[in-house]
Amino acid sequence: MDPLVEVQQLQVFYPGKNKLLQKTKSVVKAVDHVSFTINQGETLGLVGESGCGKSTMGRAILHLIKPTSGEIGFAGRNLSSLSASELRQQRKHFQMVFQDPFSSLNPRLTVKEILDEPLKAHRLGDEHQRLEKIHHIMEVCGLNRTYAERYAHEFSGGQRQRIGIARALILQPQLVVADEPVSALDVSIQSQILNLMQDLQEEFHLTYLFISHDLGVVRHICNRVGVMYLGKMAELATTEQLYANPLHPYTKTLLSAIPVADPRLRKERIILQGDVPSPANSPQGCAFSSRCPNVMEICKEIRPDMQQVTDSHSVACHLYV
Amino acid sequence: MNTPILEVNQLQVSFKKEKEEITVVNGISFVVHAGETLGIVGESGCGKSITSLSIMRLISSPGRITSGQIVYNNRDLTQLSEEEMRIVRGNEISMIFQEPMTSLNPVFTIGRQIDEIILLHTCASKQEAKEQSIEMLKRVGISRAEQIYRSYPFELSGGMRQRVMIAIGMACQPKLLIADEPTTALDVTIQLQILDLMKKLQEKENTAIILITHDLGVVAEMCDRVLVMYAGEVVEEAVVDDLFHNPKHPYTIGLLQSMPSSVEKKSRLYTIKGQVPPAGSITKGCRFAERCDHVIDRCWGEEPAIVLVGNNHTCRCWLHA
Repeated sequence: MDPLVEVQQLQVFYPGKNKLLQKTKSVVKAVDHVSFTINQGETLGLVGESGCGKSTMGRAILHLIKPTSGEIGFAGRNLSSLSASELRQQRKHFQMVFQDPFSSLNPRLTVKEILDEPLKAHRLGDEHQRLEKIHHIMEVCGLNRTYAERYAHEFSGGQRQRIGIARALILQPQLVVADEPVSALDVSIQSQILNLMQDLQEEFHLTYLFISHDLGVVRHICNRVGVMYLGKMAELATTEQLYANPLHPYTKTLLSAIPVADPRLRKERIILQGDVPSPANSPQGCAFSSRCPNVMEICKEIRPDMQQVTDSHSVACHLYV
Repeated sequence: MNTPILEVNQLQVSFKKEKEEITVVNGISFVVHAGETLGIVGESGCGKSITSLSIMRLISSPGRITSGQIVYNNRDLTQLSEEEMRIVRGNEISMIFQEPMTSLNPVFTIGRQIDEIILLHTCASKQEAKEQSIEMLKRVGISRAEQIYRSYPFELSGGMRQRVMIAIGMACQPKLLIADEPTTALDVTIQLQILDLMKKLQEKENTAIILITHDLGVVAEMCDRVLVMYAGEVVEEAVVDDLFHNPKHPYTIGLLQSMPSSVEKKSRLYTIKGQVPPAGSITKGCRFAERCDHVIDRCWGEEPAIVLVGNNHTCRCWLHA
């Protein structure tokens, strides 16, 4: 499999609040030295708690946020080196599905107008061809074509998410970044959307970056999973390996924390103390050292690098040096 | 364990829309025993939250309780005056809401908000109330209690705010705690902390908990008995082990199967077709008929009654009548 996306040493910093009379500017390191690849046709999951930088990562890959440093290669081209108009040209190859189907659709536009916007922006086809495309994509996404003249508020959450997916797919992209696409939905609707996403992937040979905090959903839909903590990648492995043999203590606690839908499997869990530290003052050394049950002296001083344990499993932890 | 502290009988709640009365909770009955955790599950729009708000008598116009009794401690709560109800609320029955940011008052300190409930329901002086509040904050696992007592809600993280909500809810040692999606807005690691805290407090005080959630994992983890609600009615009631290992109603089975599992990987998820019908739209037959895979002629014409299908296990379905 060829890599479609290559992320190298990506950093995204946000300017932080400056304290009065303080000379050095504080920065929030939302994504800090992260490298990974997304292969053609696969679904890569990104998991982690809120504030770990997974959404920033998704947006940075699409260049919706300009990376502070590092490179993003898409189909062999370095996106950072492109001019604004070249980048705009490229955008039709990578699209996004957002979390909240209620706020990500313009309430003043009909479904047809929502789906027409990307086509117009990229000047694809005349009015008749565009309408045909709109009707086609609506049907593919399980929306009746008679809904084209309705407004977003007339739809339920699940149907709105279908509109969001249709909008992302109408340009026939190669990569779709889905940022928590099912977290706002009920389980029964969630399963409909997940099945739809799988069907569409097969039909259009899509590559997904699937961002979620729900480890059950990620296990279901992803081929490989990256676990992020405080802006850094803690572990990256195939789904089978990650769930069967998690290495990083953070991955272990995350997996242990999922409530299992079977009362006979109530188990002793690893309960983490405290909250995720603020990314504005993450601990020295390993980011997880302040909450890690297996913390050692070295963890507080030196930040562990990502290293391969097997071909398809890497982890950033001093326990595995 | 076996003393019932709350009995809901044929509770019916309606909302007035123009000239119509739309029934959103239609004749539900259940019992809560001291010290147990009763789970209420179902999709959004099934009447779970309306049920819990009616127990607290917090349904406001245009909604009202149209019939039925809510018997707490030999008194029918539906018959109490607003003054009498105020003594019950927060003191004997209290409630934790889903969104810990919007349910705390942003302009008062945490301390003042906990003090308020103690001052209102006990004869404590201001100084005593402060001591009790700080004690309560310590009991919900907040380490810097004195400092947090003086903080404002925006200074705390989501998990901390939910701990504060629990501290407020438990401040007067209520006999019954209603938790409406208490962990839905939280990350899994924080969710585990909060659920663990609720369990520990329950063991100490023998509090009964009504836990409303759409997360079946949380139900399996926390509950002793479970009510499954669909479109304003109870469709199944069972001990937690029976519900997960011997579910009867097609809706319950559908919900369980549509969950992506964190234990095993399925290739495709089961989906319940369609969505919850709007309240008041179904007047005849079984409310689940149009989404049910096992629908028979009888389902369209007659509504099934609740029947006993096992030990403490009831179900509303013609397949089991």
